[in-house]
Amino acid sequence: MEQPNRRKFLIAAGAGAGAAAVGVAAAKAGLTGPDAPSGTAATLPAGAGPLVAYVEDARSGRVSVLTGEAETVVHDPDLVARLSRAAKGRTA
Amino acid sequence: MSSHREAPEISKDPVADNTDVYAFVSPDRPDTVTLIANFIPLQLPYGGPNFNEFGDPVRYEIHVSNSGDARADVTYRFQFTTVIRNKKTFLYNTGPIDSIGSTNWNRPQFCTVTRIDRRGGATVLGRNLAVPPVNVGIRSTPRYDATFTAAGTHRLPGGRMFFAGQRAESFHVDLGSIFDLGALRPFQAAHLIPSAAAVGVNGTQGLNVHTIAIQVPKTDLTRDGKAPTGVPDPASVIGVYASASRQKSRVLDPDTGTSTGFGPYVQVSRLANPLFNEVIVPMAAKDRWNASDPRDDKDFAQFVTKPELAGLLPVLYPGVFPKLAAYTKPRADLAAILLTGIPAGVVPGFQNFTGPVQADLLRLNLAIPPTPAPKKLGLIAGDPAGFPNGRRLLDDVVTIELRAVAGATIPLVDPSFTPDGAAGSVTDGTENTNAGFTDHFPYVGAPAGGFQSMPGTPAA
Repeated sequence: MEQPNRRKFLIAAGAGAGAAAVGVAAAKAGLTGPDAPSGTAATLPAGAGPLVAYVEDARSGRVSVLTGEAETVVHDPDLVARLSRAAKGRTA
Repeated sequence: MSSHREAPEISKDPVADNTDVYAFVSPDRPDTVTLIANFIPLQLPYGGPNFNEFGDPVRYEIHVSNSGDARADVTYRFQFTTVIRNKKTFLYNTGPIDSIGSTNWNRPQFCTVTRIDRRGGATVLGRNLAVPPVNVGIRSTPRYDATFTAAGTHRLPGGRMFFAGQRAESFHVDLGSIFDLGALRPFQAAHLIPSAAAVGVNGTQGLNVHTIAIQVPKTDLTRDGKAPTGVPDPASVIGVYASASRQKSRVLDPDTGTSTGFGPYVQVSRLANPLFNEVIVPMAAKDRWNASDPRDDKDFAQFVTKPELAGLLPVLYPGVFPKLAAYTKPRADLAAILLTGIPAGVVPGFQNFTGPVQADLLRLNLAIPPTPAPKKLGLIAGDPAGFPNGRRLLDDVVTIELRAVAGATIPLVDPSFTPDGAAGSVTDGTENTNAGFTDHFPYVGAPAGGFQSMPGTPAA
């Protein structure tokens, strides 16, 4: 498996049985793989910074997004699916 | 012990490991309360070159509950920042550190202290407060106590005082014997696996900890912001606990070898009454207890009312505790001491009851003045200013809790019970053999020096 580019995509912890943790060093959409084109940066919200996305149970469709001292839990099965595919080294 | 390496997870994270908590009416300023939380257990004084220090990523806090629901009404937060002055040397100090501001100290730490109220309102009490270096030795940190203790003591607004830094371990216990199947050297002739009786050995002798101490007016802590008026008044009682938290996620950076935290702080260590998590909570539940809040301690109450140690004593010391062995009622005495405070009417003239919410809190009745001649066995020796009314540095909490678990306090709530004779005399036989306590803030003795200290004597 290709080593991820740290600036774009960090595997913060291994994907276990039903659990995956994915860190994104630069919060670009990054979900399209380690070599995502820089053009996706245009979709970033203002002030986007480093974050960690954590999926404890992929079937729940919930993602915990950790940034700074905050945690935001979103229900987004599509995002979970793309993260899970990314964790296996596949593009969306 | 009392909460050193007491749970599997926190034993692997010593920087965040809360070892002891103390809360007492300041003997020299009785209108104030001193709150002390120690961290980083069992420090060898010569543990260089990277000596023990507070952790920048760790959120250290001391909490006070004053409204009976075991929630923190007042929190003091301590956040540390470490600086490397000279990035080209491996040395902790490049010459004698003859003052707290010496540039020879290559790795100074600073602390920001914040007071947070129940609604989350935060007031910064002090920023970049200098933390003394560790006691390296006579050349690196000469005249340690004189040079650094006062210099590291900071006056904060509102009559508050603050100190953070390495100090001598105040807690004493015979670690080597107690963890060897519950042996108590003075009584080991009566142990299931007997050996000749001996004097206790203080397992923390010569070791240091890192102390966070804050002294605040009583009015900073009471529910109505007023000075306590009387022992029976419920508003005179506060509950204290300390905690350490880390951010929920940590990402290691292989390029720098450092890490970055992400997300909210999650509690990884907490402590109030000594030995609660250590000897009350089963091993499989200790990590969960450390992560939980005192207000949820009803989940652990079963381990208080039927303590494992009370069942072990009659087994380990055959024939010594027959009355304890036969006692089958829930231990309401321990529940009162550890989980609710002692209600009025149990001990004449005393109460530190915080209400029915079961929570491990160090409960202190602020209306009880300091005792001129304190007794190290505290309340059970007739000294109401000592543990379990808060906790002073001198309180012999191991002996107090051993005797309580052995049944000495059952008659407080169950007069029909007569304790075994041994319940009133059991002890680990240790006393403080580290630097003595001082009569003024921060009260904790100066730390043992690295050069001056000698390694222990191994024996197989």
